[in-house]
Amino acid sequence: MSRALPADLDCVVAVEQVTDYLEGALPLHARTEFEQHLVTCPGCVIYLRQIQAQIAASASLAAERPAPEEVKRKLLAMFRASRGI
Amino acid sequence: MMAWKFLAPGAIAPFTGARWPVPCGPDAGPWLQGRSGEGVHACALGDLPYWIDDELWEVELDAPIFRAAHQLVAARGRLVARIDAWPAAQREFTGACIERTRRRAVDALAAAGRDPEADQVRAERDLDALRDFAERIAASGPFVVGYLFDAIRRRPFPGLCAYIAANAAAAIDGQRGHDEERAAQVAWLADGLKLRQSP
Repeated sequence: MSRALPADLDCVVAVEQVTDYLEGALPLHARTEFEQHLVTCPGCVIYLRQIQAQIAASASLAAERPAPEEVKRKLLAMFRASRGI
Repeated sequence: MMAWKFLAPGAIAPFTGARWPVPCGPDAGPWLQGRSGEGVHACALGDLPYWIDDELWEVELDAPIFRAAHQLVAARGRLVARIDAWPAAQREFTGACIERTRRRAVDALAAAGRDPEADQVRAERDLDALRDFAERIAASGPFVVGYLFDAIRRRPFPGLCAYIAANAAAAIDGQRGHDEERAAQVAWLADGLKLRQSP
């Protein structure tokens, strides 16, 4: 979207809310704001569809296998680094 | 209570992916119960421009019903009939949004003493050419010309085009401008699709 449009809900915030949205964890006001953003943001709609497809694909996988400790440790370190914590 | 609902093709809720059961013959479809704590969402006439999608349905909502931001929330709802004139009218609707934004851009250019550019924006009939011209002059203002560029560029997305038109009006006249533009969109949908809000 061009500079001319003030953002009601930033895409970065919307992306962070996708999981809560799909789990029904957003309160009504936040849910409405999120959906209003989707009406005006085709890019975030695509992202939502990708996450929904990913969840559906994951559900069809075989039974859970616990990740090796080394993998868990690396993933946790990457997550913390991405958040600056 | 009767209301309306925009859905994605196949009577699917555009974001949750929930499938609404469609009517069979003249009878309304089966009731769809909202997820616990969320209900089902639908539109009064004035809410419609905020939720535009490919299919428009008349829906019946069952109590308890309450109003939230730009929508009605009910315990359950059912589809009654499809509004056949939509989405065929989408192009006309976005065209009307663009024309109102064009008029605002013309007025703003004229007020800025840029009459030749105002004349060109007023006269250009080819939307792609108008889009390109608006893009060229947007950087030097007035600001609303940038919205005109956006509205034309985003015309394949009617909900987004309507939103841009409302923001263009707000850039000129604040909340009042925004509300007037949204009211114009509601009036277009009511007249163009012959929708009447029941009391």
